[in-house]
Amino acid sequence: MELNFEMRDNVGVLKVSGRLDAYNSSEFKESFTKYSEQTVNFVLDLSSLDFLDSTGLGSIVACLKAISERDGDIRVANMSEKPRMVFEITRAYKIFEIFDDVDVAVMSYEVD
Amino acid sequence: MKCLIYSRIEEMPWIEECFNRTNPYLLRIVNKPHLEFFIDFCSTLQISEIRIVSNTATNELNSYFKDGKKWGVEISYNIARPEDSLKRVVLKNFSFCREEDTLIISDYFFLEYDVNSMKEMSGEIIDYLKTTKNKYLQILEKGASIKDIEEDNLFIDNKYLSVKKLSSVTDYFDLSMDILENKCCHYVLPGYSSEPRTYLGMNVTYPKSVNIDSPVMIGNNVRIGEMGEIGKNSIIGDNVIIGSLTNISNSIIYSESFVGSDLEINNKIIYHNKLISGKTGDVIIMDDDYLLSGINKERKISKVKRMLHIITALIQIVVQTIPFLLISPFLLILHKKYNLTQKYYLSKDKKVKRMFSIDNARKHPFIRFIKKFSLDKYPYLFYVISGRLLLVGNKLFTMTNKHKEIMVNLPSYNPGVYSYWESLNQGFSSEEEIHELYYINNNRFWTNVYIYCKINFLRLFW
Repeated sequence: MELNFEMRDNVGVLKVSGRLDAYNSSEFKESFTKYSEQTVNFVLDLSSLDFLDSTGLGSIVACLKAISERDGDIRVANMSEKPRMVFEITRAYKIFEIFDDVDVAVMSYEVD
Repeated sequence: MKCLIYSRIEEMPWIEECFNRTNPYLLRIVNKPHLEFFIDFCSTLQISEIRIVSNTATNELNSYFKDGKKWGVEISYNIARPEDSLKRVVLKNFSFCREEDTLIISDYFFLEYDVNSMKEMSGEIIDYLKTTKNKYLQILEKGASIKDIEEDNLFIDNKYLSVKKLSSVTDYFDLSMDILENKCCHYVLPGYSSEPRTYLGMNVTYPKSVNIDSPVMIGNNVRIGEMGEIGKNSIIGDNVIIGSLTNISNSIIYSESFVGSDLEINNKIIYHNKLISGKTGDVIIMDDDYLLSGINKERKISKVKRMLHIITALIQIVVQTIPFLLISPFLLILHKKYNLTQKYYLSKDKKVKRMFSIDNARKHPFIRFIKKFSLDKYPYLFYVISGRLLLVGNKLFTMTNKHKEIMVNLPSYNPGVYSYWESLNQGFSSEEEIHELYYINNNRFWTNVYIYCKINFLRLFW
């Protein structure tokens, strides 16, 4: 798993590449906690995410719960087919806002 | 031009009452899923790309429409939150919509059109939709703002298009009958048509004594018994069996239904074991399988798979019997102190059973020892042999409100002695629903072998 973080218009854009599963979900949570010191509004760019399992998704949900307590949000963008299927079968789409473009997802914070 | 279809599923009690959990957009109207009429409409307007957005999982739609090649279009899918407005949905799919003019179809309705006149008048229809905004059907022009999207249902006043609301089962019945009787040439309908207003699917078998009158539509894999009468305005779906001497007219026999012998069916809808009046919408559920029933296509755990579970459980019993007998006096002593039992849900219909459990004493050194050799699994193995548990399946939920809620929401619940959740070895109990849903959708033979081996291995060496 590779994480690339950048700030855009006060929104943290976190690009996740590779695999997010049981073996690196704790690493993801730790990195996210570190990035959340800079902002509470995030966009997860999942365009390069090849594999996501329930533990990986569980770690994203745990991050959402933590950031929601600080009135923040995690929005998901650019999801490829396989992660989208995991979001669907686990009904995670009910708790995440899913956009098809990172720029629009960043802009959506302004719209709100 | 592109098209975005927002298949928003709201509560539609009549669909749930009459057609169980059928996805409203896959409800068959004259043997064709509702959404397919929209796709045909787009195809006739020479739209090349369609994005289907749903506020529920799109897997059912995806498995039917796939990538859209069959209709000569490219179909992609996205999901929205149930509470999303149309404007929010367009915003979430903005990279799809911003490149070209986009036809937006939203809400649950039936679009009446004539495919023949549309081919000639598509330019006029597109111009009309550009100027007249309506929540049902509108065109978002390239470069236009999302604010321009109309969210109200206004009257569509066009000689080529009209919107028909489907708010009750009688609306559905009247629409189906109207299409078959008067408008079948307006749409591309499934089946071979050897004479006007007669549509026959593949693998339809009936003896010479059967009489069939047009207009009629018969789907694929249909068997009609001796001396049957398929009268005017009969719509028979796919995979249907009709018994001998049965007379059907002005009725819809929905796919995967069995209709018994010597019955008179007029102005009715048959959906599996439900008899629905097409005129009043009254529903009767028939308990007698010889009259009406569903043809069950649901995939059940095959006998071979279950046998494998039982054989593996038997081998484990043989290996563990003597060690378990040796430790049982110590377990009895611990039971007096910690109560080594707990109530578990065995099935989705909330059947509960008090069973052996080490949860109350899991930190005790002796329990840790027996866990290392998976001896705590031994009492459960007999439930595998009796068919009440699987060897590897869903997590065996304890009788708590939290677990009850999760279990009810799961599409299926087949608890096992070993579970995917346990194999994660994470030591926390949050996100259980996500893990169980993930397991249900990835439940394969080799996944179960992996889970079984992983749990035993982890317990032995960690």
